[in-house]
Amino acid sequence: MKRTILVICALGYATSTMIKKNIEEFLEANGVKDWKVEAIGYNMSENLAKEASIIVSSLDLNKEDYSVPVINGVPLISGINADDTLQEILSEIKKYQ
Amino acid sequence: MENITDVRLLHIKGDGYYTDVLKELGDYSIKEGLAFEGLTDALLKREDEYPTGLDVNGGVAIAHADIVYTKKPTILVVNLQEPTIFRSMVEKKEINVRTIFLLLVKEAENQVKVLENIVGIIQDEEKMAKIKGTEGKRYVKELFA
Repeated sequence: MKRTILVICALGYATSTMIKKNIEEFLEANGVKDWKVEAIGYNMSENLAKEASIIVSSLDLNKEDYSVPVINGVPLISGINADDTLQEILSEIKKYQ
Repeated sequence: MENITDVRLLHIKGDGYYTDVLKELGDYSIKEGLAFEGLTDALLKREDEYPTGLDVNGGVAIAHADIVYTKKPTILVVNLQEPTIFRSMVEKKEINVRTIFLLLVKEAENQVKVLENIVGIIQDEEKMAKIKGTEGKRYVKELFA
């Protein structure tokens, strides 16, 4: 069973699609095969968030509301510090290896 | 053809706060038959609650609202003559924006390429400059072809 990275944004289709594609390409380039990426809008995110192992968001989520790491995904859209963000995601993934 | 996204380059004055600009663009979209009534309010409400500003390449905003308001899938690439204040996705802080991408998406799965293109443009100083240039209209069509 694959682990999930859940991308949470406001409405669940634009920003999260942008971030999701970015992460998927990064995972593929790094040979990560046992993880999948899903995207959802904030209002519908509660259940999926419980099943995710990592959360990436364009919103300022309260980390204390989640039991898994919450990573800011805005750099993946703006391009500023994008590499740092991707490396952060990768190091969280590696904790499960 | 439902799946083809139309792309339009607009030049508007801007200036002041984002509310005026989004109202102008929302009303334009409805008037042009690209969106349903309710878009303008939805854009304003969304921008207030979940700002779309990005402090990159002169300031960019990727304004969009709920998909239900989209009539015809369209991207409005909007050059603002005057910097306009939006709030950033990061900590909602106020930033100057000079380019707005207004997204009228109907089915995100069919428009992934378009959304990816936008990210590529936002991050690219050269592409952003070309959008502002005299060949902007033609260039924008090419970018999304």
